[in-house]
Amino acid sequence: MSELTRIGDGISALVRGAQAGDEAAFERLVRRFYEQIYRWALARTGDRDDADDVTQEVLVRLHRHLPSFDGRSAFSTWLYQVTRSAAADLFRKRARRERLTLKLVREARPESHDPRGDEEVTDERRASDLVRVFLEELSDRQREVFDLVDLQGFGPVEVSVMLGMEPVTVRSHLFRARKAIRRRILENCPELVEGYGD
Amino acid sequence: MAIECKTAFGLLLEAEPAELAGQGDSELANHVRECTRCGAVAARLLAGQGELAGALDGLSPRADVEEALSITRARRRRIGWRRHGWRVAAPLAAAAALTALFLVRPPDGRMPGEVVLLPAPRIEPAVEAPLAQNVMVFETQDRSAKVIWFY
Repeated sequence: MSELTRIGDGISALVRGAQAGDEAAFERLVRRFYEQIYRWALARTGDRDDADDVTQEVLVRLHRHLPSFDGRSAFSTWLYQVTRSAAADLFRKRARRERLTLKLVREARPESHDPRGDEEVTDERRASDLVRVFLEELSDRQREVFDLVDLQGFGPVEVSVMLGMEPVTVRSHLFRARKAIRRRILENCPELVEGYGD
Repeated sequence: MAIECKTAFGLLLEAEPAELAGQGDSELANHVRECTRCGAVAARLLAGQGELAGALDGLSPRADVEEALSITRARRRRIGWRRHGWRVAAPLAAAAALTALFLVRPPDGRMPGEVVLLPAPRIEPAVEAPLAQNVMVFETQDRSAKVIWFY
């Protein structure tokens, strides 16, 4: 039996237990997927506070809707749909713009001197700059697809099922996202791109 | 090298991570393996994506999982109460209301809501005998009815 099959079987057993009302199985299932749900929510919303809210909402919905999971799709695929749905509802309810405005005001405050070494700070700034591009400059779809395929290792076909998109659309979003992220990566290394021309 | 660096550069921006790593037999993967400059760009792109993945992995939910489970339990209880609480609350409220009715009687001893029949006001009928006749009015047991006899 492969490692992947064993993991899948373990999840199936937890799902069945939770569906039968076993609270301990439900909690183990949550522990297993908690960080994953948050990551999906973050990629979906592009905002850490929203991702926290969505994650919490997903846990409640997971308990309520788990009996309706019939096992026709992978559990992770089904859970991803629950996360997307919770995020969509959050967007409807919340005036997200207000929060972004507050965030911009906070970020506009002058930075204090960082006592760490310049190189460490530069690496961290470079990474946080990429995170900012990822969260704020990619469209919701681009961010979602790029995160699932390139950063989390889901296959494009699996992602097309998860998102209810044609595979060709998934690839289109993926390419645009890659371009945006990779251009930003190279902006920090001008010496590497010298001589390529436009 | 089957493709030029300028072409390869354009492809690098959209390529699969495996191709950036020089894996596979595509023209780009071959080029990345053979061209130092494009190989360095591809390596930087892979490293950058790795940094991004690492930074995102470092972003955790503010609540740890035990706290989130505790919040979830509390929310489920609230939702359950809102959805099914009326089944308990309605009989309890009805029982409380009935108890209050029996315990808090008004001073006249009547139950609240009890129908009380007040005596109808007595109005003597103004009866006038027609020409050349007499008239008599008789009370009956039913106080709302009288017998009027013309003779």
